[in-house]
Amino acid sequence: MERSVIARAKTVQDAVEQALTLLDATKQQVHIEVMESEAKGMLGLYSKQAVVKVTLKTEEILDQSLDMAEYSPPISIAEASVNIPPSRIEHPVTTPSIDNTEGKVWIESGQVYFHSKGNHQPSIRATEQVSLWIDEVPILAGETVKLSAGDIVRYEVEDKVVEPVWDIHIDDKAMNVQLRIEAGYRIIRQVVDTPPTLRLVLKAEEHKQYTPIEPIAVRKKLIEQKVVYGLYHDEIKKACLSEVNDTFLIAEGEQAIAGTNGYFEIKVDTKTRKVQPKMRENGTIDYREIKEFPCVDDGDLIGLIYPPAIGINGVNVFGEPVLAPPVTGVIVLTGHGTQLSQDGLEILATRTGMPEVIIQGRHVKVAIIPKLEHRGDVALQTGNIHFQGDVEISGTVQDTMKVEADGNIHIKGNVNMAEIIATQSLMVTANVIGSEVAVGQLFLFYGQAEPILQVILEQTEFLTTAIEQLNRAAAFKITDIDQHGLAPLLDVLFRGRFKELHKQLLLFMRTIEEHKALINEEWQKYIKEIKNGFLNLTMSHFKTAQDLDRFVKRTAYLLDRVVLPQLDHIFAQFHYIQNSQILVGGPVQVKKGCYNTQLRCAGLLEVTGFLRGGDYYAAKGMHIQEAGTIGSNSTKLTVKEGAVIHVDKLLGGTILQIGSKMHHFKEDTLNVKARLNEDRQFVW
Amino acid sequence: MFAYQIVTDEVQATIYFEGDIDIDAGDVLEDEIEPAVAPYTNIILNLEKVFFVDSSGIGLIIRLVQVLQELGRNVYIEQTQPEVMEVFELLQLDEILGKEIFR
Repeated sequence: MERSVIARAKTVQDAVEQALTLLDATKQQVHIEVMESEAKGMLGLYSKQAVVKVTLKTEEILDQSLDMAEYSPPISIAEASVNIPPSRIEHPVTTPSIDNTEGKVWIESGQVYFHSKGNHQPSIRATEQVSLWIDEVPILAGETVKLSAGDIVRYEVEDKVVEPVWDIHIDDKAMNVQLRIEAGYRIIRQVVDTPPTLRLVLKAEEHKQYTPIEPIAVRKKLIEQKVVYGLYHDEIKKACLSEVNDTFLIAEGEQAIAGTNGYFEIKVDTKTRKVQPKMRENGTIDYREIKEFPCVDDGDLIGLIYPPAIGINGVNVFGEPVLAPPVTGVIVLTGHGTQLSQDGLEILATRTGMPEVIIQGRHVKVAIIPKLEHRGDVALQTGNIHFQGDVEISGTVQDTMKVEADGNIHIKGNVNMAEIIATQSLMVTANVIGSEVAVGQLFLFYGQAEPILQVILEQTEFLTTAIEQLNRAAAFKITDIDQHGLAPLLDVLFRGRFKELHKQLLLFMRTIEEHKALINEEWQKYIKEIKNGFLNLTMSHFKTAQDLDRFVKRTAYLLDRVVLPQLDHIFAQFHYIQNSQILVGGPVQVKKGCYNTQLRCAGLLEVTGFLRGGDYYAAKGMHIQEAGTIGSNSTKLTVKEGAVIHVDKLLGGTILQIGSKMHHFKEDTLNVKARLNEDRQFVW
Repeated sequence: MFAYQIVTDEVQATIYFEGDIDIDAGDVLEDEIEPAVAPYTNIILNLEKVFFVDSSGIGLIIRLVQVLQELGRNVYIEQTQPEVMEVFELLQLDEILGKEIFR
């Protein structure tokens, strides 16, 4: 701790004495600083008092410098200020001549000089910034040392060096390369030239100089990392000279530009064909609405195919291509009465008829549905009718005859002891007696088969690959294939990798069994192939991956066949049915009623007349005007659980079944709305 | 060519197979080996000297292992040659028999 006193008096001498008294010290124990000398004014006017600052020396310094105390500058100044007139003090020792370097030390061009003579010894103080040695003895920072003639004074200033740090980061997709920089620098310290002084404090000036990074080193690293594309050379240069810590984007790949998928544009109206024909009040069907179905003529444009636009590939920073996302085109299947134009971009009609366009995913199926108009009865003379398209019969279908259409059937006369099969819809304006009718059954099968075939296709494709892989395995012998085909191998694969395929094949067999009556030769052949190829696990007629590949192709072909539209245009409309079997894959409307008939439909059954005797099942519910028998034949109405049976007038003796719950109505009941309640109880 | 040797102690039976495990090994596996090792708690199939397999042979191994596992035995397959292991992996035998069986 320093103690100091500032004293004011007429003269410097008086002020010093005053201060020494206050500090209770002798001149040897203090530093004296003359802050202002006295000035004498005229006649005592404008005179100025002297001001001194007197500081008590700390103990150590006092001890160290006791012997030089008498030469210490403050004292000499103090003495000077006492003895020398004020005008002399105005020219202090700042501009020394050669003569007055005695007892002083100075720095010139970074070199320390001093002039020590006898008791006139200058002093030098070491600091943190500058290391000091006197005669090779290091002097601690803060220490003051007296210089004697012949002393070797050496100092050193150390520069502070921070090397630049950098690294390169390539992102996961190899689209961006970043250069991260921590700037490097050197703080250069230089001792300042100082004019001769009695006490020299070694001080250094600091200059900060940034260390640039060699762009070559960065480029070399980039080459090492195989970065060759999209380099920003200017940015690398800029980064290398950076004086702040920063990250620079120095290379960038080129992104791929996505293309567009192909699509199909329908150029004809196809929508109205879904309008269902309406029944007139008198029970006949208004056929005019069917005539409103859209129609195209030979040569008409049905639609345009827009091919996919392939995207543009990009390049990553390694110069590798970045593939544009794949694009898909439409696959056009030209059906009946349609053809592709020569450039493959237009679908044209080749005959007159109703256009049908089915778009499912990438597949577009286009066909002109032809219509067969049969005048008169279908009888032995005309033969059965099998037609790929709609059929309209103006007369009756007579005993033992069969009408089969891949489309819609409209029969204006009766159906008598005959068989009718329609894949889409059936309308019979008159009576159906003692006949078998199936509508839209194949569609039901197609709907069930499609997801299964999809899995079978995928899995058998994998299977083919897996078998090819196995055949390449060194330790795998194929000695047993001659004898058993692929059966032993399939046996193993069905337990592990291809468990799902086995399951789906079995499921497919079960599904096809349910529809056995409807399927044609093509499907028969296919299920035979499944049986002999996959399901007999002691012997398979598949022997090679090529055999399997043929199966894959057949599956793909059949899958194409079953990819069909929703079933919303499958329905049947009747006037009167007696002693017949009716199967419909959609809703059924009956105008007058049914007598002693077996009817199953996948939709809603609406009867604006009666149901007398027979077994009726409608998956989605029933709305019947009157049901029941007065005679002995019982009437049973069944719907799926969750559906409702609505009968305006129910005669006693009728059985209603909802899901598995059955109720026998003993009495006549009006306005029955039978359903299952929350507790699955039969209520009405 | 197919041969085998069974080494047993009180609880363990080790079958050292030698040669190809293929369709011809069927009778031996079912009629001789299976009854011979069935009484032991731990049964080890050593395939060190098996260099070829066919699908029938693999089927037989699966059958043998599963029969023994159903009896509550601990079954292990060890020292399988890498080429044979490749075939096992392609057929996902680990999924059928359990991963812990290979050691």
